[in-house]
Amino acid sequence: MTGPILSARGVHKTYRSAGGETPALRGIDFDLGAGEFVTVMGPSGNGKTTLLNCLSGLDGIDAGTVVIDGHDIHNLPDRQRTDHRAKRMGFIFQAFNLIPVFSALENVELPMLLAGMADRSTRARAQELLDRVGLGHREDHRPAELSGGEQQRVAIARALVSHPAIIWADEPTGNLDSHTAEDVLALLHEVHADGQALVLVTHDHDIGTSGERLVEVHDGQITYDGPPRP
Amino acid sequence: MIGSVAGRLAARNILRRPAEALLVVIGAMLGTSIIAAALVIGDSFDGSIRDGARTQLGPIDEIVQVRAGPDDLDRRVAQLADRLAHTSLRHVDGLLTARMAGAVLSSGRTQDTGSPDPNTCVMEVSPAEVRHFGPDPELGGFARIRHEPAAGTTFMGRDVASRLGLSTGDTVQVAAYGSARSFRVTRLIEPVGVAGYCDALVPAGSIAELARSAPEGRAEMAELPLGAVFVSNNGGLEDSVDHSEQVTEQLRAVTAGFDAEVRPLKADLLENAERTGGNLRTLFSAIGGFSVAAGVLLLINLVVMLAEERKVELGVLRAIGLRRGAVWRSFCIEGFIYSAASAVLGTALGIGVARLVISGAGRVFGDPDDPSQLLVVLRPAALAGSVAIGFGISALTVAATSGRIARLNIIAAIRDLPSHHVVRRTRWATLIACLGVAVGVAEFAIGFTRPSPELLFSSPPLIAWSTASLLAHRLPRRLVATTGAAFVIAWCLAVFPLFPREMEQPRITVFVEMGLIMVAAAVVLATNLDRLWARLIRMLTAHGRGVAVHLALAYPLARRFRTGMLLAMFSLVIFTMTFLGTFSAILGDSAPNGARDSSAGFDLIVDSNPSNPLDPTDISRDRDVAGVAVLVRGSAEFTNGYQPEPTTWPLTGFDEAFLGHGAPALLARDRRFRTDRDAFEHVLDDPGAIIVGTEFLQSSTAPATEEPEVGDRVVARNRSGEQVRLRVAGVLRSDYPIHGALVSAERARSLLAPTYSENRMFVRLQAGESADLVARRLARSFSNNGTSARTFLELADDQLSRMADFIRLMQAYLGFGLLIGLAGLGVVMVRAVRERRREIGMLRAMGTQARLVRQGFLLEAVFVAAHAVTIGITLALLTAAQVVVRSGAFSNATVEFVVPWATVATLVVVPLLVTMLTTLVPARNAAAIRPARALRELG
Repeated sequence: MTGPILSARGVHKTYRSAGGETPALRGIDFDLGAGEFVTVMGPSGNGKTTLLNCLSGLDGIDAGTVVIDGHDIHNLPDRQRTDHRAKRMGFIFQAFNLIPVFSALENVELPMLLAGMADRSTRARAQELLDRVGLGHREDHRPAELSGGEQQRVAIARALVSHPAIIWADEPTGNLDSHTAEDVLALLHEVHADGQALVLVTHDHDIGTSGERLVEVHDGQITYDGPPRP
Repeated sequence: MIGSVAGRLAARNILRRPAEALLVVIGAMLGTSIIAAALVIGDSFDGSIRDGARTQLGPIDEIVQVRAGPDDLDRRVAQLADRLAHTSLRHVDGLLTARMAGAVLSSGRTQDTGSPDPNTCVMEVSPAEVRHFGPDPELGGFARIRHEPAAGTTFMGRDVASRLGLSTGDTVQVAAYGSARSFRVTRLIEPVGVAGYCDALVPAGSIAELARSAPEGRAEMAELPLGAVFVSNNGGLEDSVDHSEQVTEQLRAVTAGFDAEVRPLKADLLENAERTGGNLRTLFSAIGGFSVAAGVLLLINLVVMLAEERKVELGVLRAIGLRRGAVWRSFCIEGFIYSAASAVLGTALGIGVARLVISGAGRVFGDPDDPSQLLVVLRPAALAGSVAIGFGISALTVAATSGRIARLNIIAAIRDLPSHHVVRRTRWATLIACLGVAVGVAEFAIGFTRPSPELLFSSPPLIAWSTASLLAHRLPRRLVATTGAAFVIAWCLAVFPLFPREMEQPRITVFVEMGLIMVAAAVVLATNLDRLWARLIRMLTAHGRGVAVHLALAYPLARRFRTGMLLAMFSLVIFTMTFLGTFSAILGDSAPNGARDSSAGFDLIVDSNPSNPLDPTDISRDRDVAGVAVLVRGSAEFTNGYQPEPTTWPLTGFDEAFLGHGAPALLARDRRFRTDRDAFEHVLDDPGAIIVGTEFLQSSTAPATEEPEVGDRVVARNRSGEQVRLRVAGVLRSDYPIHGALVSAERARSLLAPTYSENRMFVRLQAGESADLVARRLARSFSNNGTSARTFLELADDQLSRMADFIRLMQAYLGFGLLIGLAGLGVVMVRAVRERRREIGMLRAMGTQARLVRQGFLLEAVFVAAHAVTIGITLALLTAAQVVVRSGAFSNATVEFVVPWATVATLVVVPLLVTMLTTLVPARNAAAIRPARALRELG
């Protein structure tokens, strides 16, 4: 493995509200190598999603550094951080989060448009990815017209379309039945096989042990980082 | 139990997001404010005119007046007073004699004071008698005036003195009957009651003295002095008019044979107040109705958005057992609370709007220097009515919209999926649609055979709507809606060319109906063109361009119901403003034609005070004047085929000099006459012929139902009750000089005697002279006669500008409706940001720049506004063009259709700019959404 494409050091994150302060991450150190498949596990409310958000730059941090491609993303202005996200990252969420007023095809091609990478081949690339996730025949359908599994497959196609270096997946199978979840997981393994790094947050022990590396988070700290434990 | 759940839900939802609740209240209050403003405007006009009962009349209810020369005036008045005093008049508590004359008052100075007041009146009356006249000395305005003015002095009304720049001790010049006298002002009096009836009080005998000193030949041209007996009825300031009809009848009976005129002054004034107030109330309510409709559409949108936002929780509540009725009640309770708040706040806002309109109206209708003469009158009934109507409209809208919301699909709601309302065709719906088709067909048949433009025009849209409703379940809805809407628009544009005979001279209401139907059809058409737009966007994004446009248009195209509501709301207001703006421009443009048509080849129209008219020989001698025609003017009572009630109307007499340089243009003339001039020459020769204006004997307060035609029989009555039969030989194309009706001078004198004056002249100038310069010089040279000299263009401009100003006032009032549209769009965008937090969060996570999110929202609002502006302006211009070309209201050829480019430009630029400004805040908020937080809130 070459050097890490993401390197986080001493990351702290605290949520503040009227009710007081809730520490979510406490001194996280984390490295991600190119093409790695990392699963993140831990009990609810212990900081898994916050870790994903902070490492990807979706959320700010209170202390520490997160360096991706040589840049501390939390020191970048919003415009550059957003631009970086568009070009180098893909996201898959438990709630799918497709844009309801766009068709499946439009949802998939959107990241290319946003990253300024669109050209005449964009539509063909989006169609190719929809074909790959088995939804080529439903490209004109809007999210409300698709099942949960289909929506998640569109979300995966969307995450892949701009060839991101890192794909962040937050409980991607949380809303799916076991059979559909298996299909989605198989798809994610295919993604990984293509050489893209994958960080997958999950509750599911079987999924958690299906990656190359397991990270366990308890009370905002990484308590285990190593090969998956049976 | 369920009821309490509904109530609790409503209360929690209001308290949960007070700022959002406030937005709904703001959205709902705008419609109420329009209603409140209309009611207050009506009351204010009514109240302002009614105030004249206090300021101009006081205890005076009726006047019995005679005109007589200076030697006869005192005797005639005394006889009249004696006759009345010795008659037992029921419901009368006082009589007061007075002598009056029209006069020109001036300061006698030229530079440093106000210009002469050309139409004032001087009065001789005994203060002691006034104090005992009527129920209360204060009402008469003479409570503190003990003596009449001493010889050579006058008591002047404070308002006139102020206009002339005079104060106590100054000298005022009173000009009448060709002579003038100076009086020293010894007292300024409040213009209230009897003191407000005329402008200055002069010592007894002054009027006769002025008239006696008239140069030879001048007195015959002037209005004779007026002798009057004022009558006060039993009762207070206003309720005394309850007896006016009976008292007037008694007075007419008692004074029969006296050649006296009896006028129920106060009853007329109060009736006029009521009529004007009522008409303006109706007018502003009707025009404001467009804005109220826009407000209702906005409210529907807001309630639908509220429901959309709470869809998941409503689905869950329904799933765990909350009944549909409870959901409905919960929304109703919440909506009723918003409605109540908005009704009260809207009424308060409406009072503010009314104040602005009244202030503008004061400049249009009254003295531009003193717009405060129109009072803002707040009556509890109007305010309560506004609150009630505002609440009723909002509550009904909320109740009806909530009914639709309560029918949500539980599963779709819980899964947060768009609910596709499957509208089941009920027997009732089928029956109503079939009935609609049948009624439409019957209307069409009747409209065609009778013919009736109203029925003929409205029947195909009704048939189209009903047929579409029937077919919507058998054919693709989009196809049915698009075809139906396109058909309706095509019908509106083609009905006149297709049925020229049947649609001849329709009433203006047909065009209002046409506008509304076309706007509705255009909105249906526009919202069904979403696929066309989507295709265009696809073409654009296929090359990697137009991401912001893609994001901006996706929501309005996907949510057609909401977009339709917004479009309809906005288009209606733009339509009305453009429609009014077009007529304002048309009126402005028609002045030169109107001036040419009414000038008869003359250059100036010169008026002077009726009691001190200009001597035509003085004008003829002027070096710049080439010809003068003197007109005999007064008012006579007429009846005709469509006006059986005796109606007082202006009458003008002319002689050969009037036709010396041409003739006024006629809209229609008897076929016997080859030219317009021939028709006028016939009137000179035939005492039984008359030429009338297009508005002859039409009510000024009701839409014209009939117009005068050549050959109509007219009956005129002279002062002694003798009837004269006349036949219409021609109808004037335009009547800016307000001739009313034209007969020969000889016939006019015989009909009007003794109450006519020869105080108007048409003046022809030497070639090459500047009419404006000569007009100013004549007015200055003959200021003692109260001379006003204007060009015909100035005259037409002056009259048209008042109408145009009034239209502009209505536009400003409607501008408030535009505010509703713009504010509504802003409110909708604010709510859209809240509703789309999840999508915005995801877009930001995927790498959408904040700038792009902001641009997307701005473009979305501009897209809707631009659509509405296009629909509103295009349809308004098409409708206005039809009105001008086809409507009987504009059969007058001096009016030509013009596009009001300035208005159009304003209505394009301002709404788009303001839309961007109102969307700026929600767009900025959307751009500031932090992706992690937006996504976390949902987890």
